[in-house]
Amino acid sequence: MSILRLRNYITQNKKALLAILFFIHFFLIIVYSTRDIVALSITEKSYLSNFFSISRLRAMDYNLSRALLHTRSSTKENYMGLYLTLTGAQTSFTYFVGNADVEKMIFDLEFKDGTHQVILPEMANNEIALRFKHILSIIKLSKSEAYRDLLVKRITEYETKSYPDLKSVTTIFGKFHIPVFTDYQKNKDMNFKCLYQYHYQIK
Amino acid sequence: MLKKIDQFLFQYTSKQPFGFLRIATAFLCLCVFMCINGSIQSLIGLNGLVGREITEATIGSDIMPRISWLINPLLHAGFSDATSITILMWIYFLAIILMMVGLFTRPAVFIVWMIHLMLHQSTVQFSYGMDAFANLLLFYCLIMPTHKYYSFDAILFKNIKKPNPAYESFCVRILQIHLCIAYFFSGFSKLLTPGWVSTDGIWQSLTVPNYKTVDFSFLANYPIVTALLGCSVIVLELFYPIFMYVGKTRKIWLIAILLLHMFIGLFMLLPFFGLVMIIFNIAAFGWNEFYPAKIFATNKQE
Repeated sequence: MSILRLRNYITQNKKALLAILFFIHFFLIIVYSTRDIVALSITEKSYLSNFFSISRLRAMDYNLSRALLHTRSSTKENYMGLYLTLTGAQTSFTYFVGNADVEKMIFDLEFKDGTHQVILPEMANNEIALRFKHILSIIKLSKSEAYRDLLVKRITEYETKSYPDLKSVTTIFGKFHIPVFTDYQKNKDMNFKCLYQYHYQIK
Repeated sequence: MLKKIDQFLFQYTSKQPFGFLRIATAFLCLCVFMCINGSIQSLIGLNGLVGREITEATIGSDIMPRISWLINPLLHAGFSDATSITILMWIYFLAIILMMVGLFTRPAVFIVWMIHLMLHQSTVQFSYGMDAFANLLLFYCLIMPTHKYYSFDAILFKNIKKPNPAYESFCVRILQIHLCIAYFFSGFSKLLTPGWVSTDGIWQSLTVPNYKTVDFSFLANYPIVTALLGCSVIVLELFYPIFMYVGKTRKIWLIAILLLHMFIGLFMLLPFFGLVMIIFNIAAFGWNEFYPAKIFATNKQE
């Protein structure tokens, strides 16, 4: 009986319900897009950065981190995260805003006979290369040392597993800095900066 | 006020883009599938590049869909990890084809959306903007009446309801408003970023080695051109919500934004990102502007 009443209510107020859903959905999208702008300011990349004092900035960073991490503590947050993920409402719209670096991972293989070979990760096509580039960005931006170490180790294992007789592998992770417009006119070369270096002994 | 909202949301008459939206989104999914299928084991396999257990460990919530929800039952049934992934990819492929031709459209779109979402969630370390927008379009394909247009369902199943103009108007408005918000925030964040108003933003975007097919370093000799390009991208995005709703500027603005995405797709090695945004723009505004029947009618008049 109550289901019938609910069904009748929905049928009678269909437009109003749709309009409410419409406003809630886009309100969430606007909130999440604004969040990206604030995040951009927190990382000191925008003109707005000057408006945030250090203490406020830290507090905001903390609150944002909590909000973004979809913590397991609150079911409400989980369901909200689920809705945003399913509908794509949390899609970020700030692509190509920040400065773009080019991260690289290089493997220096040392064989048992003492010879060395330097290799780069092998990608099947451009689409896979794009996706691999994203994980390199994650390695660069990761604040967790353990997570970064784990990612580098797994990638190193995967990329070098087809090489027999390995004695050791040195993985170098770094980035090419692309000169900004004014710098490029003085010096056209990109500078490679090594960020992390890992040495693995093969047992 | 309520009357105006009602008019805006439910009384907008346009050519229905839903058939195009469904077919184009399925085509996009098919193209991406063709590109990643050869390396899918390395992306989501247990012994992949990072390993599924690690990639899925970063998914914050237990209720968030992930690909292991589908793979684990197959593993329990005795299939190997590689075989399970292959079976899943075949299901995904078949669902994309059904979605494209519009046969059993609703279940097919649901399967494509779910598997795409799970893949996206489980390989979030390997995902980029295109995946998020594809997920968005798939969700809209699911809730919008995409099964009613250019589909076998419309031919085979006579009990498919007749078009509901109010709901279809509402759906087109959803697409339009979503794009307007997306472009406004994209333009606004660029405006706030030092460099984009001068020369550096567009310069760096065009010269990043991973994202270029053509050498644009000659732009270093033309700083004014580079600055103008950067500013025009900001203007194009920031004022998109305004000029797309002004009848006189809509077509020119739309052509400019489509050219921008074609440029991104062709010259910045992001073909699928360019394609997803072109599909979104055509579905939201372009289908009504460039509807084939409209063009034929114009030709006849001439």
